[in-house]
Amino acid sequence: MVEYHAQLDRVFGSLSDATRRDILRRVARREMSVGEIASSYDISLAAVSKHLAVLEKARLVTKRREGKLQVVGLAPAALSDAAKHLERTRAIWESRLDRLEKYLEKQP
Amino acid sequence: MTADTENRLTIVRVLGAPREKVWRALREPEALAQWWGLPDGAAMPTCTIDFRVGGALHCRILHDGAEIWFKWIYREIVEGEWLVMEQHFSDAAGRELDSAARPVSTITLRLEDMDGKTKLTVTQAGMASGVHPVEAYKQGWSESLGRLAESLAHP
Repeated sequence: MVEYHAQLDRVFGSLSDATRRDILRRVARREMSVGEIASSYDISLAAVSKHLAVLEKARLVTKRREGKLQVVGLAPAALSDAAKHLERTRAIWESRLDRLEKYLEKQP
Repeated sequence: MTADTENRLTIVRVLGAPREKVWRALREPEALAQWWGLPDGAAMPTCTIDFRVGGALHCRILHDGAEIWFKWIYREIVEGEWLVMEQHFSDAAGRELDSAARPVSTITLRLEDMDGKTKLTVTQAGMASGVHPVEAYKQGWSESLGRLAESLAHP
């Protein structure tokens, strides 16, 4: 459980940064090399690498080597954990509203 | 139900009761104890309520033997029509335990008359603040349940 929360903190922490969210959107569409990602931003390759390291640690992206290139892709599993939060919230509300309906029926 | 690109969840329900009656169910502790809380076998919450802007609904929820505290701070109240609350994970003393994994979210409840019935629109925003849409994420909406129950049960 502690590890699960630490992992969630990493996911949400990673997503709190606009550049990282943008990187995530790009690699969600297709795999990209590190150089290609870096060329999209006005920041240094080192800074991009740092962002990628944060995303990788949060298990939001995966890196693999393809010849000379480091290729970055989306790791969908971590995101679906975050999505499950929302889905779970929906379930909480549906069940709350079911109970509210029952409660109102019982009231004179 | 929709989950839009800003992580706002919207749920609309038409309730077979007049608006004043639904409003009372939103603000009276005995009523809230009957329906507020979590699903899946969680016991109904024990709450204290200070129903005014800046006041809070502070609830203890028991789930699988674990004690969970939430605090909903009232941010806007328009009598009979409109309620905005800020949801915090909390402790027994009412301290807020905000963190990236326990984000603050905003709940809005809106009541409208509908031929003697009441249309209740619930939105909850900010569950995962800052998360922007990516295709994989959108697909994730349709996947289900999972671990929030655990994270709620063992905060």
